[in-house]
Order: sequence, then structure tokens, then C-alpha cells
Amino acid sequence: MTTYRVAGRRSGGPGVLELTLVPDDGAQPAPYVPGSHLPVRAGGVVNAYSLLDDGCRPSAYRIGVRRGCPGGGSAWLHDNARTGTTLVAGPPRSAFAPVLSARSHLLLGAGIGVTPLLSHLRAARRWGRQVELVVGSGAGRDVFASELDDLAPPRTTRVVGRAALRAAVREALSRQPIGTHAYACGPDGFAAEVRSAAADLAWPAGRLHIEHFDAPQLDAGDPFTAELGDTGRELHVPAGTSLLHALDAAGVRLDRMCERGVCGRCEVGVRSGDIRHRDLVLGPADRARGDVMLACVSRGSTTLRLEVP
Amino acid sequence: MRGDDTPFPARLTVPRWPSGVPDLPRALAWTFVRAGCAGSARCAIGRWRTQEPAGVVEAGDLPAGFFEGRLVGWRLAVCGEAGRVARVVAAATAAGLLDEEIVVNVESTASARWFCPACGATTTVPAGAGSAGCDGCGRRLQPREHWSPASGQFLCDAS
Repeated sequence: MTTYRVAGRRSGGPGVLELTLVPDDGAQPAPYVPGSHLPVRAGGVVNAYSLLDDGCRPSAYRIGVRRGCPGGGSAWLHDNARTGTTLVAGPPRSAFAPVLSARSHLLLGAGIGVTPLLSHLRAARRWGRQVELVVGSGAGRDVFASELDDLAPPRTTRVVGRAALRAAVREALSRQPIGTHAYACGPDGFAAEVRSAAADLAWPAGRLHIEHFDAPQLDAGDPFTAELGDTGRELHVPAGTSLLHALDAAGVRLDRMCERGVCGRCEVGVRSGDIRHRDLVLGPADRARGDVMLACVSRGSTTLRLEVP
Repeated sequence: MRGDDTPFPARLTVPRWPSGVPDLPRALAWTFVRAGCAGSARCAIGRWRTQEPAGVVEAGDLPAGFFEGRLVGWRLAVCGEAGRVARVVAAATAAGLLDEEIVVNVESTASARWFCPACGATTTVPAGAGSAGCDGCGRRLQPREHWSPASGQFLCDAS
């Protein structure tokens, strides 16, 4: 955890705040992978906010914050974060990175979902990557419009309204050369529409990358058993209790922050067993390997042997 | 073929071809490639053509520009002899296809492709060979159990 000071605050569009954060101790912020997010604690909760720059030797972290529900962390930042305010945040996390072997990149965004795409666009410009952009917003609700004007690649489609965006996304997906990877960020409904269009057009799952806005509401899950390290000690994890909290009760405290499958701090190694992944952090390769899970939200479908003492 | 004798071995990789004729997943378009396919009882092309209408390309080497103009949604299915299938898969991978976009059926195994670490040449040898001279630099090659799915070649020791 690092303490940051707000070094700048300005509007990113209707209902959107841009904050510039610098480490309070004067250190240089760590570089990050394009498309990363920063888990920020505000108003008693931790939310992940997309970083707006490409992460190459950053002098500060810029994040975009859409005002959320009253009482939430984003509303707290809108109401309370001023120049000089200190905030606590974890290190940048990458779960929406550009695929370096891609022949070209198709960026799809809706509303505030353009924020990680700005990071991708800056990286694409820096490294000369071929990129196409399709973004949509509500009428008069453009987000980070001037940055988009500046960064928009030659092949850019900007539309107003959900139906127009849906059509533009489908059209773009239908004519991408083999080797293209697509990246989508927007509200859950938008993400579902992109998935559906991509499936209709036979896009393989490995070419489509979705950045989720919100951690989904999760069910209580089924009970399962966890076996701890070499000790063989068994731990029963009932439905409705997370592995993280079951470990707490057993005296094993893992690092944590968001407890919603977003920040990735409570990652734990798994020696054997089938994992029901429910986080928004681990990628397909991590999941396929099955040797790591996030204890706050993910569960066992069978008995899990964990890499904990 | 040598195994791995290092104290901290890298994971060994050898080709793992499907044991039966795989079905074709959904795609917008297909191209089938015969890569040394002998049309034996294990040939998949006939079965695949009952599942999907698609052109069939006879390929020792894929024609120039084979991958140009292909769109995401297109898939490639390759049937034939292991070494030649590996070569087509390597070309497809280099063109940007993912594993999910390539379906493979190996009808027979008669050859293997070896990579020389000294000169970078590829030498095609009969399957099961224990050593051979490098086609590029003439060094003696001995294969390791270290096969690259991306290039379709075994890494060798060169002496």
C-alpha cells in the first residue's frame, strides 16, 4: 500500500473526474502495463480505476473516476478529493494489456469505458501499433473528448447512442484481419453485446479481451474443503463464506485489499483441485494452469490443496 | 532422443497430436489443407467436408499470400503427415493464428523437423532418427525432447 497525494483535479466530462496522483514520499511512481488499473481506497471501500497514460516512466498516475452511487468510493472522491488530499492505493494491476503478438488492435469502448483505451492508444502511438477505435457515448456525455480527439487513430468511429454503437461494433468485428485482438470496456450490457457479436462472428475467445467495470454480484457458492500446505490441515469453507475469511478464522492471514476479486492482493497458490474462478484479475492462461486463485471470491469445485502453511 | 538432465529442468515438450479425427468447431469460413495427406483410413478431409463446405489446398508449402485477406472468424484445418502438418501449423502461427483457429489431424508420422542452434537451419529427418547432419552447417545434430509448437521443430544439440 502506498500513500498518494492528489496533485491535480479536473473534469473529464459530465460526471467524470480526472485525478492526478503522486506518491506522497516524492518517489517516482512505478511503471505499468497499458490498460492497467489502480486500486484506490476511498470512503472506506476499494475501487479499481483505469490509468489514463501508457505507463512508460510515469511521473504521476492519472485516473478517471465516474461518479457512482451515493456513499460509494467514487462519489467520495468526487466530493472530497482536492489538491493535497492523501489517498491510499495498491500498485497498478494489469488485467487488460495489449497482446504484443497481435497484428492489429481493435479498441471498443462505451462511456467511461474509454479510460483504459486511452492508455492503449497512447501505447499504440508510442510503439507504432496498428489500431482501430470504436467508441460510443450518450448525447452530450462525451468522456475525455479532447484526449480522444488528440489520440484517435486514422480508423476511428465515434457514435452517439447504444444502437449506433452496437451496429458499429458488429461492423468493425466483421472485417478484422486475422491476427487482430479486440479489447472492450464499458458497462456490463455493452460487454455482453460485444461478446455476443464476437461469438456470432466466430471470434475465438483468445482474441477478445474485456475489461469489467464492476465486480459482479456473486452467489454464496457451494461449500468446499481446503487443505493447507504440507500440514494436511483441513479447513471447511461453508457456502457464503469466502476462503479468505475461512483462512482468517484458521489463523492464516493473507494480504488483501478490495475483497471483491479486483485488486489481486489475496492471490494464493493451489497445488491441486478444481478452482471455480470468480475474479476479474486472472487471465485465461492463469486459469488454465489452475495453480493460483484469489481467495476473496474464488472457490473450490473439489477439495483444494493450497500453498499456505 | 535425449531427455532433460538439468537439475532445474524446463518443462519438456513433445508433439501431442489429437488421437482421433477432431470435429470442426463453428467458424465463418474454413480452408482445409492436405499436408502430405495420403488419403488413408485416418484421413480427416472427407469427414470434415461433410461438416463444412470448404476449399482444399494441397500444400507442401502454402502458396505465397495464403493468409492475406483472411478475416477473424476464418479457421484452418490441416490433415497429413506429422512433420508436414507441423510446418503448416508453424506458418499459420507465424501469420497470427491462435491454437483455437487451427484444427489438426495427423494421419501418419514419417518425418520430424530439427532446429540447429548453431546456424538456425531446419533439417527434415525420418521420424525416430537419433542423429543427422545439419542441412545448413553440416554439424552433427541430436534432438532434445524440446519441441516448439510455434515453429514445429525439435531443438537439437549441435556438435
